[in-house]
Amino acid sequence: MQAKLMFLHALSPLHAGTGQGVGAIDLPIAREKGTDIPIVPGSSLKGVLRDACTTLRDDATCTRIFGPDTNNASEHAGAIVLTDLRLVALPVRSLAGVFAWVSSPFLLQRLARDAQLAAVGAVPNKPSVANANTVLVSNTSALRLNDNEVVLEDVKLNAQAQADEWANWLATRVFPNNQTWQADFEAHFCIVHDDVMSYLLQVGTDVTARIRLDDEKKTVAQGALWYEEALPAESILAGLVAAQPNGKAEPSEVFDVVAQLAEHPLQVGGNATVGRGLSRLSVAEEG
Amino acid sequence: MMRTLEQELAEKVYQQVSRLQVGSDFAKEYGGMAHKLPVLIRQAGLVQALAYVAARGKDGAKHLLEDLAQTLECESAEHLLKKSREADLLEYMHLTRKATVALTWYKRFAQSVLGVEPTEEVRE
Amino acid sequence: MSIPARRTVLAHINLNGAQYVPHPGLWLDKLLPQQFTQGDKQGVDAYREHFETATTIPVANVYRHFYERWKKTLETAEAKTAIATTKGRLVVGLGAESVLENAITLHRTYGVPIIPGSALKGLAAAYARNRLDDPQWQKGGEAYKILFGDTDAAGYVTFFDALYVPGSAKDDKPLAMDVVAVHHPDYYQRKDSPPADWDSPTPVPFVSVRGGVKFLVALAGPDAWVEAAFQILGRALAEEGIGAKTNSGYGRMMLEGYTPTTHAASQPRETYELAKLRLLKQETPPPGRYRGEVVEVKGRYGFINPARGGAKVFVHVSQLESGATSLQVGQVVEYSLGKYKGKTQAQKVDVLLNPNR
Repeated sequence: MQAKLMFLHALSPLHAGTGQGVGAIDLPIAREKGTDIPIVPGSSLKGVLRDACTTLRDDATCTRIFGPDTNNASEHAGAIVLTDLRLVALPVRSLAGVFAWVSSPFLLQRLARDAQLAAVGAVPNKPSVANANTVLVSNTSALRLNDNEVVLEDVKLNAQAQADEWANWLATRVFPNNQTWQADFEAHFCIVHDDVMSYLLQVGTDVTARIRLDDEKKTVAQGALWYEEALPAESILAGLVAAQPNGKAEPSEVFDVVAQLAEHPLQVGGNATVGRGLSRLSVAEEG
Repeated sequence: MMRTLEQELAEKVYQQVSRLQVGSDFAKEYGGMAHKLPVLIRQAGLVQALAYVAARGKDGAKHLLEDLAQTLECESAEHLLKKSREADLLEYMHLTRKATVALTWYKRFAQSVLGVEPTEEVRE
Repeated sequence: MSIPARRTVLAHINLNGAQYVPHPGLWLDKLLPQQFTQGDKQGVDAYREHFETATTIPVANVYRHFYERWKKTLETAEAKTAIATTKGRLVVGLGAESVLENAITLHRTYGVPIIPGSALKGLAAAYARNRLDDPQWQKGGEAYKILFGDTDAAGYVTFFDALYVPGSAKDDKPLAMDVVAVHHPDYYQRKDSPPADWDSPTPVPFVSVRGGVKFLVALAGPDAWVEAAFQILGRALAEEGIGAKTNSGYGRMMLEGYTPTTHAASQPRETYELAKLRLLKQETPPPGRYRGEVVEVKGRYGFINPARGGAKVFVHVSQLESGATSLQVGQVVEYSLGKYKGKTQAQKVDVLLNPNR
């Protein structure tokens, strides 16, 4: 089965939810079981792409690629297969440089595994972060404070300039043909220890209070306050898009259609009517 | 049957909460802060949130801090504050996690035992 | 009594060491040095100093790149945009839980002020329900359901977060210190008035968005409904305002192309007399602004009777803003005070209400 690596880049807060939650958050985002890495389920992205397809292409094409709609689901399967998209870099507030794109050895290793299946060429080695207090930054980093300190949320770390290889590899794939953003990405990218990452994955998401006001009194209506979690704008996720033989569409057609759909912004996840989940999809080319 | 850590935690918190007099201002302050504190920790970080309650909280809220300190195996709220400030990074992240987990139980019992709802102190 | 509020490893941090712009939201949320007992004056000073530092932080260069890309993305997504400009101060999210007692909604990643899409949608929906007479705009009405949705179906119009327009604030610093507005007890004698934040025994400072700052409002959906939503928003932003403290005149905005030139005196459910009462007696204007009624007109100039009492104020027609071109007895205006050739006069005069013809 042929597969390609794709990146989803959130331009507004992205809420791919699971429903009920515990703790401070009433509506949490979906996370991978066992690792707690934020994800966008492949099924959810597939729905978004199918919707986009029906507005941009003819019905026959959409059916060949995405399979028949649910009423005729037994006829044949779709040719497209999408894995869950997993977080690669979380934008985290920084005391220098406004925010950092934060990743960790574990997140990058998961990405590297996907990348190898997609045959996108050489992938940098798993980075090594000596201990929890260390952060790897690039040579052009905008994140440093007082020479070598980096403060992300309430975590203070010591910077080492060893993230260039990954920063560059990601920049050219997430922002193809855009040197401004490639430079911005490299200046804001960093790699933290896995333990620090899992802390930031808990405290670094965007949590907003939503309320329903009582019209007359302008006070909060009873039971109408809830906390909603989202991945902040600039979050970067990655996953695989693959083509399986279904006797209807060739792999090349599947990838062509996905590439065409990726030219337009997509709306992914919940709360679309208040502007959530506006995202950019890009498929990494081989080489 | 062996009890899980989670059950032990729940029982500990239940004991503390059920000592309060339902309907009293003190209990309302306690319950109100049980709803607020997880959000404050989320928005401001553990140290900021604890310092805020210790300095500016009402009597009931301060009592919640004492109870929480006990649950987190500290001698007093003051001890918990000091520990949160001085802990190294790994300890700090761990303490934040433990406090958040414990507070979900305070929140639940504030609602079910004390009858304090989460929206009561919201403005705007 | 004071209690250190930072982790010890962060105790020494200040913003001088940052070569690149810090995140103002992070600074506000997580780096207050100390907390003081409720009612302690030092505590108020500590908050003020902390807020003040945040207002000195300019918008980061990388945000300009983000904003340009955001505009392009909206175009590709076939969203329509319009610029909204704050007339006075604006603060959204003041009441959110915060260790500083008062908060403000900032963009999570870039730290610039935003107006959440949910707030814009909520404002437009409330305005439609309360101020538009046609039954189709009432809750459950056909138009209302299509635009805003209900529990069964989502609305047809998307309200994106309105983002700060880079460069639109002086020195690209959109935030400013604010103080709790002076309380005029006699203005608020009416019973059943909503609970007010000046009941707080210890007023604390807060941060708000300056006047004259621009936001990019973006809506998407079927053309006709987007147009209707813009029209409703234009009125609601001008008349009711968005965010907190709208009773004190905060949050009023001009939405380019959609702000009615004056408030119609015959608002649904509100007569001229009622509107005048509301504007002059129930609302407090933003800091530095005053309200009054035009009581005398002599061609191109006239006099205003200030709502809070005192001598009449001279006003010349050249000082009228927001599209008004003439003075009329009975107009309700909002203005600043300034000097012209040594004499006090009303300046930057907005006409809030015209009398019935």
